[in-house]
Amino acid sequence: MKRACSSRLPVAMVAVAAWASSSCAPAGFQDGNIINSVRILTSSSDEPYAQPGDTVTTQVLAYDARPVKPEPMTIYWIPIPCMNPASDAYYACFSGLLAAGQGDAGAPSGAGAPAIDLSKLPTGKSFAFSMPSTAISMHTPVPGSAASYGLAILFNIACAGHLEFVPLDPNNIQSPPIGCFDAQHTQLSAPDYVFGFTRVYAYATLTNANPVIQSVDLDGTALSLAADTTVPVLDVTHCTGKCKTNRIGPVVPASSQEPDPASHDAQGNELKEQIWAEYFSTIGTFSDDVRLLYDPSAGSLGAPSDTDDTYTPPSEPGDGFLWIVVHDNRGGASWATVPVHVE
Amino acid sequence: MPPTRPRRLAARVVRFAAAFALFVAMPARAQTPSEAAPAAPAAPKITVPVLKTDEGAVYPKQALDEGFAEAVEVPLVLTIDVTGAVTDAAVDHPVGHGFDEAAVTAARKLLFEPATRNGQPVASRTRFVYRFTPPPAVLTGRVVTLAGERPLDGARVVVRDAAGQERWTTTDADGAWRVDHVPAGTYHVAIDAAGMRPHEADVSVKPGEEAGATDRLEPVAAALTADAGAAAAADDVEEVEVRGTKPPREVTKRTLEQREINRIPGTNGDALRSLQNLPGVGRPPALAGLLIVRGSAPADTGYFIDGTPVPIVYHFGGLSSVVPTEVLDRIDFYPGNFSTQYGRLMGGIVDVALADPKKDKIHGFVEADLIDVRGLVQGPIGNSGWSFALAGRRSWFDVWLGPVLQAAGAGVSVAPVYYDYQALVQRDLGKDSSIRFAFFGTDDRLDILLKTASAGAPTLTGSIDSHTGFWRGQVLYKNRFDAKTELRVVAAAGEDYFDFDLANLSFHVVDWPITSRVEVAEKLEKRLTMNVGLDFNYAPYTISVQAPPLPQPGEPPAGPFTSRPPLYTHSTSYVFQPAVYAEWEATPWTGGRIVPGLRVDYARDTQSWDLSPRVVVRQDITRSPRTTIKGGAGLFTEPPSPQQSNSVFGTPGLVSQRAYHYDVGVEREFTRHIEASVEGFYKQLDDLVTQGLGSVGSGVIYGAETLIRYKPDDRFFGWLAYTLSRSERRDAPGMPLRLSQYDETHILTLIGSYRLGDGWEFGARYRLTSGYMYTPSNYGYFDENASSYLALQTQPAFTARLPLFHSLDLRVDKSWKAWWGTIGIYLDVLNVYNNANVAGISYDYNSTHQSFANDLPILPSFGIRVEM
Repeated sequence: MKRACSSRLPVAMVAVAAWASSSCAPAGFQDGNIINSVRILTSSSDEPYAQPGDTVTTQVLAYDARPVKPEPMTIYWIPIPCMNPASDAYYACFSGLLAAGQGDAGAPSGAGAPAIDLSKLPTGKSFAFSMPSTAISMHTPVPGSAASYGLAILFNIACAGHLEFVPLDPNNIQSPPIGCFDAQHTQLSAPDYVFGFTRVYAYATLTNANPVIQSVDLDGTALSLAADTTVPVLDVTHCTGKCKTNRIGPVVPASSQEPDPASHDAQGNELKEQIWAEYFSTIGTFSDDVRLLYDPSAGSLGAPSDTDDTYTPPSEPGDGFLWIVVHDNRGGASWATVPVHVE
Repeated sequence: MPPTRPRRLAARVVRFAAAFALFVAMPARAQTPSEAAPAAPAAPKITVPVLKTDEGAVYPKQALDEGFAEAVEVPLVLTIDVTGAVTDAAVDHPVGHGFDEAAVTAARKLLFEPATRNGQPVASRTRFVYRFTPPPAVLTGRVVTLAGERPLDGARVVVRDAAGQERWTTTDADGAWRVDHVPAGTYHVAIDAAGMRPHEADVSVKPGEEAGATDRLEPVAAALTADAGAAAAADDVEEVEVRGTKPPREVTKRTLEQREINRIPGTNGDALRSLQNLPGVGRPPALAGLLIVRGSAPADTGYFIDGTPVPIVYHFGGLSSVVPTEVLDRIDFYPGNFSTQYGRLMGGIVDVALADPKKDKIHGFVEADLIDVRGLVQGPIGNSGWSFALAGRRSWFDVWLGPVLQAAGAGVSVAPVYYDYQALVQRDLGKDSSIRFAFFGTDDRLDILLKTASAGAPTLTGSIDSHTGFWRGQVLYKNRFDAKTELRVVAAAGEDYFDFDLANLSFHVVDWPITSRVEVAEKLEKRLTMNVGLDFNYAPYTISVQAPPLPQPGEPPAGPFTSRPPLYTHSTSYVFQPAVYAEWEATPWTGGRIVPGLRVDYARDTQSWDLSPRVVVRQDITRSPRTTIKGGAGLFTEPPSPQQSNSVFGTPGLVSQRAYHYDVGVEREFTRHIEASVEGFYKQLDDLVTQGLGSVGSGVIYGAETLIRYKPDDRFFGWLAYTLSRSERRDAPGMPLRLSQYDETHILTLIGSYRLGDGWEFGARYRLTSGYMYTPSNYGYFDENASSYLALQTQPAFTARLPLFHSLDLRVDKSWKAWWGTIGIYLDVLNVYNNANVAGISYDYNSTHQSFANDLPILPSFGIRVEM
């Protein structure tokens, strides 16, 4: 075979190098898991894999940690999911989204869709939509896919102002059709605005459940989650230099690692999901941004004492939050909120 | 030229210093009479031994066989008895190559007048030095008429060396001439006979050898009256047994010698990495083994081992070559417009020739540095006529890298480890025939569990398994049946494998290629040689891939790769790519050379035939020193790989990619060691494979490259290479023409290495190149499924360039010779002045802040080598 491997050989080493270089924030950069601006942390749909006709409710985890807030943060939802965009690419929805905003009864969901009025968008931390009954049948068949599927891409925007349509850059298919503006009509950027999206897949038979966080492990003690996913307040003492740290992490049962019928190893054996926990904080720091909980082939990486992250309190007293977001690699997510009081 | 009459030339004996005797007494202090004390002993009267007879020492054949042709001194300590005979001779500072043995053998035959003490012969020891100078060579020839080959008596033959010194002689009644005692080297021979057209030619001769040629001269009248075609036919084409290096069949062929490969600073003596310093070759990323030839994609350049294609040439993509330098004979590098014997590629060619095992005695070496340990043993297999070589290498950085990765939070099952091996047996079947069996291969493996990740790439966790390698069994048969017909056959079979897994994603390819190339060279007439060959490639393969869909060009990734359902493909098929080719090497007039050729390829994948006509023209403008203008044009095709035409991850219905190469240039040899060349090139690329769109891409690459080179002599080698080029691509009709990611406008490389003496050698390399192209990123979107920001990338891609790169690398070698061999150590320091070169752009988690990611800082590496 003609040079079957020559152009791909460095992949393994590149992956290791990429991991080595990305395991911590480069010098001079702010840690992305320290929340001090308008941020969306994740979203979770009650059915990451829905069936056509199902009603899907999506909740978003967002927080406004700006020290100064001229205008409050609002979560806007584009009310019409973008169905089956070309190449399943989120940016393939943008031209239709802009057309809909201009009163063109076109996209994002196809002919007949109502126009979008940005001043009347639904807001809040959750949104429900109905997965169209034609979601799967309208999707172009994808060779190599484990099963036929449909894709709904749901857009939400965290904006400390109001939204306006902006013209697309004809030379960049990725350019956004909607901008966030303040009262002075100044377009806002990173600290005040996040353009987010989530994918919800439609399968005829495949299902996926969000990973379950049974409790939060704190130095070997299990903290129970309330209905709003919040655990009791974590009281710590501010410190400088050599501080007392806490080991903290989610307790995710092995049953959360569901079989993944679309993934197989080299021997053809079906793999399981990959599950990882991501850590965010508004006060104090974590030693790792992300820690793996379950590997598709290796399974569990151990007890919480093996997978917990290390939390270091800040040098100043105050109150804030920690979030532990647990993802699987099939669109499932759940989280726990940890209020922190620093004396 | 064959060594028809090896000459035994006496070595000059030089006495190095006054002898001293161990048995002589201490000198007495002079005293005045007034100070004379009673009974003071008288000072003994001493004479040193005086040489009476010396038969001389012969320049050893071993040195000549090994290509060693330098003046050498061997200091000895002789023990002389009371009769003046040498009872013992010990080498004081061994130099190897057979010189020590030759000196001792000669010394034992020396006869001295013995040393005396008070007139009585005494035993003594003395220092003695044998100086060996390379045996001179002999130039011979015969001058005859073109028609009838009648000998020309009295023709004047002038032989001029590289320094311009001339010696002359005349032919005898048989037309023969001879010039004895000339130093080895290249000579310009001018022949002038009454009534005949003058004739000139260059000839090279090695130490102790005799170079001979038959020159056919045509009458002046015939030359004046013949028409152009007849004149060409009647031109004085000589029948040369060996006459220097045969001109290449390509426009540009660059060959690096062992010493250059071993000593280029910044390469750690790595064979293939040395190619990255030649003109037309782009600077690869740090530690990467990519070869970016004249702006082409690295995958467009092919690698061969003695004509057998191999899929991998670097361990882990660039740590070191899979073929150690020590088993190489040479590396031939063709940056473009290559011969029709090579096909299915449209960039450049790297053909690595393995060295035949040594036949004189058992040799070996062991070398170690911070990365790996390697060894080689070779020599004859008894008196069977066969010789063998066994070489192997294993990395050992897993010993220290494993703990480092574990300390960084990774679970390490198998730390990165590689090995390679080469085994050869070879036999000469006659004067011009040989057969060689080879078995070589390589294996790279790592198995790591990444337990943590960053906010910028939260999905980059999980197990990473990689297992990559290949092996080949190869037979190489060469036979020169007569002066006109030569056969070369190389055939190989083996296995390539590439297994890579990351979490639930995987890529597994295995194939079992069977390749062969059979080439017959037939000299049809004096001015025309035809090379005809069959190039065969058959490879059953299995591909199994589980990965997210790949983005199309100009499109950013549609999301973190593990946040989308993977696609899967598994296919078993075979590649069948036979080809025939022919080339005609014509020398229709003096100094002229035209090589038209045609190659016909068939590719089963595309079920299509590709015709590749090519032509190369060379014309010597001056012959001493030689100046040649050259040019070439050709069509080069590259069938799509099975991955590119895969129905899931590729694009079915592809056709072969095409490149039209156009070259023009000039070469000039200023002296025996100094040469320079300038080439301009233009490449038109068509039917390039564009992911998801098909064979719709195109491109253009053009530029100029120059090389000023000092070829290795006893002390020095070096070169200055500069390339100015531009490489552009258009992904599909209607899309903008953009710079390729492989575009590097300026590439300047300056290299020099000097032997200081006493085992010391010092080298330096300076590089100044344009920065890499990159695609700027900006604040974009947030993928909530993966909790990761996706950058807004500038389009078209690769619109920005990193800052200029410059770096100085130094290398110091020191070797010690012992009676049993040589010990060498080296220090190779990359980026000596620690310039903060930019290798890329780093972005923060949401691409709102960026900084330069620096290339390697100052990086010393150390190695040790033991050679026997």
